[in-house]
Amino acid sequence: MASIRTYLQRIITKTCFMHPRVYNSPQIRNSSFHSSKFLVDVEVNTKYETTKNPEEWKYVERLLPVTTVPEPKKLPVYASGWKPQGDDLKDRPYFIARTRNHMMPVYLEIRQRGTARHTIIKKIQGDIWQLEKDLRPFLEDLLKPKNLRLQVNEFAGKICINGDHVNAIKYWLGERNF
Amino acid sequence: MFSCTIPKLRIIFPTARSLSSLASPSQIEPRQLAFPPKYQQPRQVWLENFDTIEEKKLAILELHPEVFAANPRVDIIHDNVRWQSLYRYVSYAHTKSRFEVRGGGRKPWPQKGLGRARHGSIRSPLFRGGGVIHGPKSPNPHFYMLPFYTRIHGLTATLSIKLAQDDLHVITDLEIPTDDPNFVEELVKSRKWGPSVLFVDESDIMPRNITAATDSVKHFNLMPAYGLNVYSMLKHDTLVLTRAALDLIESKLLTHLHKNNSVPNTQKYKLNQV
Repeated sequence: MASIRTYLQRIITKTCFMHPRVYNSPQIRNSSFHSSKFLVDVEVNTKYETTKNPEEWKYVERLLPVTTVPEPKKLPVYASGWKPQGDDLKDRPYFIARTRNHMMPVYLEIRQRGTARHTIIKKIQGDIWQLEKDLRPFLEDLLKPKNLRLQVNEFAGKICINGDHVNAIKYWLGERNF
Repeated sequence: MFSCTIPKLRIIFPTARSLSSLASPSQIEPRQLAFPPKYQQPRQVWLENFDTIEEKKLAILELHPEVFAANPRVDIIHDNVRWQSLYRYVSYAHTKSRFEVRGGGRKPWPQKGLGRARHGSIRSPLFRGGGVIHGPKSPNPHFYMLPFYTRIHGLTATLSIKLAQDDLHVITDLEIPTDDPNFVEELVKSRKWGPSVLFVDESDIMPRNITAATDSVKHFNLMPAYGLNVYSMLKHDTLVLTRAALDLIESKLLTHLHKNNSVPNTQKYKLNQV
């Protein structure tokens, strides 16, 4: 690692030394697009060698950014309180997929300058009406004197609930391993 | 009489399998699904041959449910079709305002004394042949960009609908023995692929015979995988993918659905971007 960094630093200092214009040059402003000169390839005088070594490539690969969030390691308890999704959910009547960041797709939507708050559960697969039936008593207990206002969008696989119940629903889903 | 009572079930004995035209599983590699689905079952499709008129089913391929069993979101599909027809539409309707119409600089008659209404110009919008108020001005481009993930979900929804309606077929490749248009016509007719067919291959350089055979037939169209779009899929009755195209399309869509950094794609579209 350290060797690569020093190597790169060496190249950078070398190029700057060899091309003072790169380092400290007045900006060229041509009068218009048409009168400006065509771009030419800049001659690179730095000496470098090309190698194809899988052993060295491993260290380069380690520096490349990952394209997906990898599957997290299975631990009994996580410090952040986050819980992974259960493994055996194929026999459930419904399923709530995790997002690409392995989080629960439960969101708070604030409209009307903060006066309207809606909780939205997304990525619901399977029998969405069964999920509504199971979720309803839990939310009705929370809202006891008030009525529960809940809307099921089977077509898009979403449930919209009036009010901020994000943490309550995340807790409820976590209890059921979703 | 009896056909009503006896259920039409086909029982296949192991011996029948050896006689059937189905290729042995060792010949054709099964598909490995990236991002294995956690709940939905993978969808299945026949891999068919394309070098003979009569259909040979070579294998069953598994398709990722996230791409081929997505919700049939007709609202998203409509957004895509609307965008595809509008982003390249320029309205050339044009009208002239009262100051662009020729003439009308002189007061037509004196303000007072004639018993007529007061007017300052014969090109006023009240006059016949006068200018138009708030009329259309040319050119009026209707270009806009659909959000990136609306485009992605449009493709998955349309592919899922095509598969569910039995309008999606997968073939080995686009190699055919002749460059005769009748061969493709007969093939499509015998396989009941509907009048219009869209053939999608992995790259834009396709075998010579299929290009020559479909060149004169306007309802058979060839398309590389990078050109796949919602409008063309809906326009054609049947979508025929080669296996290589299927792999490419599925992997591309899955990477976009699962990648962690979607910021470069979801940023505001700039007209002068590279």
